Amino acid sequence: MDKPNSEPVTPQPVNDNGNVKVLLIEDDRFLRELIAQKLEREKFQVMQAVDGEEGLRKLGEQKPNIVLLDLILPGLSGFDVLKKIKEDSANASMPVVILSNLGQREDVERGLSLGASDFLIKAHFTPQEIIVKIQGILAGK
Amino acid sequence: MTETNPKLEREKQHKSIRFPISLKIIITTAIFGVAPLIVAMVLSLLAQDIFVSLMFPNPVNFDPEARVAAESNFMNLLQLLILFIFITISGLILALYLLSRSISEPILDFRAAFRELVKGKRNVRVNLGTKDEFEDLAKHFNEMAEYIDKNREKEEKINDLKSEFISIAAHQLRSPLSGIKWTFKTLLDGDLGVMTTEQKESLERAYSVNERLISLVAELLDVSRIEEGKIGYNFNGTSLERAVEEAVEEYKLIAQNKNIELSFFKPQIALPNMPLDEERLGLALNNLLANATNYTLSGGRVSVSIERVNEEAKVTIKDTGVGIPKGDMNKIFSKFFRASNVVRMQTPGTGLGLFIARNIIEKHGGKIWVESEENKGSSFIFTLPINNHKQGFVVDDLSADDLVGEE
Repeated sequence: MDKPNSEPVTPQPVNDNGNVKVLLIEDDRFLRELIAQKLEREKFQVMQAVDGEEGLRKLGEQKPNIVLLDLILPGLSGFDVLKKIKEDSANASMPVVILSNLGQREDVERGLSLGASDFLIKAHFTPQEIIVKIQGILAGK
Repeated sequence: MTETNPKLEREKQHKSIRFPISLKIIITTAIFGVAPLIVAMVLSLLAQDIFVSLMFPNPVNFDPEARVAAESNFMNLLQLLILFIFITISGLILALYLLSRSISEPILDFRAAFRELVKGKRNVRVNLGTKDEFEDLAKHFNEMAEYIDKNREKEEKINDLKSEFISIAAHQLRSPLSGIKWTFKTLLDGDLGVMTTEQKESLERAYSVNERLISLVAELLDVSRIEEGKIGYNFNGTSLERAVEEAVEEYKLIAQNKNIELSFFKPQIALPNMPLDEERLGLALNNLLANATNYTLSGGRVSVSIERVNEEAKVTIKDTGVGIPKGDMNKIFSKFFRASNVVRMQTPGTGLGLFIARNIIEKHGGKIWVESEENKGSSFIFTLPINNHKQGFVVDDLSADDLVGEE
């Protein structure tokens, strides 16, 4: 695995992250803000939601380009949210990246079979690596 | 077998009549041994009359008629004697048979019950109703079985709770650990301002300690899932050679940095593809290689080799490291166990790596063992069947009992 280039303060001026809207569905405020900060630093447009219901609402209203989704959420679980996103033909092609504390094989398989683009275990990725994943998925689309 | 209230049964037993084994022997011999003997004796008295009349016939009445009578008397005598022998012998046989059965049957019942109990079956009870010493024994056996059942239940509950606790704790731990990791990384990346080299170095140390915690959480999760028997295996035709080579490749740099010579020897004849769960086997190899490189001092050697032994592939990971003290050898694969010498070295480690590796190898139908001498080195050797009967996805159906509680 080649690690992403994590040279400090080298924002690529060519990237057009500014046009990319990221919806972050994460109930832990600390983590949500850390990721949001990093995304904003990389000039993404960030929308935040603390649970599945809010996430789905914002998704309908603001049409993000990509969703970062936690699985253990109050109320609707991340899996439920993912299912709902993929069932709605308006969003079915929207890439969803799971960012969770779960990560056992069944969780991963379940997430991917529901249509997630990738499954990232929070503690195993740095914010920079998460952004590289997002960029990769958007570029591949 | 039905469950009854043992207390009630005990009281009932005290009140009812008891037949000790000795009494049973006396009664049985009396009925089936002595009674036929009496009958036979009566018969023999009859026979005696005939015998006397035969031996001392009245000479006066010695005529052909009397002779015929005497002859028939003789036949009667013979018949009676045969009857006498027959009754006595069959009576004795019957008595012996009944006696031995009354003793061996309860013993066989006990044997069966013990077998089931050892197999781990629940609610094993012996109900005899013989009203003798065996029934007392059965009562105590049932008390013991009840005690074992209760303990097993308790153990299982504790185990379930423990696995559940580990899994919840691990998931809960991941959030704060991610928070720490991400904050450190943000600082290290200079996102919040440039830091001095010293600040950076100290933060990097904290970062690597945090990484260790993160991998501990991942290992704990693996273990708790092994114990819950929830791990599924995906056996697909894979090249063992390639899997081992890839794992060795990953440790090349680590070995180089520690000045350890790491070499890999392929088998002389290429092995066929084998049904392996590549991901899990990789984890097992990873754990074994991590140990080998961790506990081998600078200037040492680690060699990995594969060979074919009949229908098995044998992988040997040999190091010239610190070795395992004799007293620790049999515990080295148990959970959370770390050999006393490596604990003294103050090296990081969870004591879970080999436990996980053993589980993975055994789930592949293989065996793993270690040969080691302290201060000389260790060889971890495992075998995998080349023709594993398992194919595709196999849900791990081992119960917690099979994995826990072994030394």
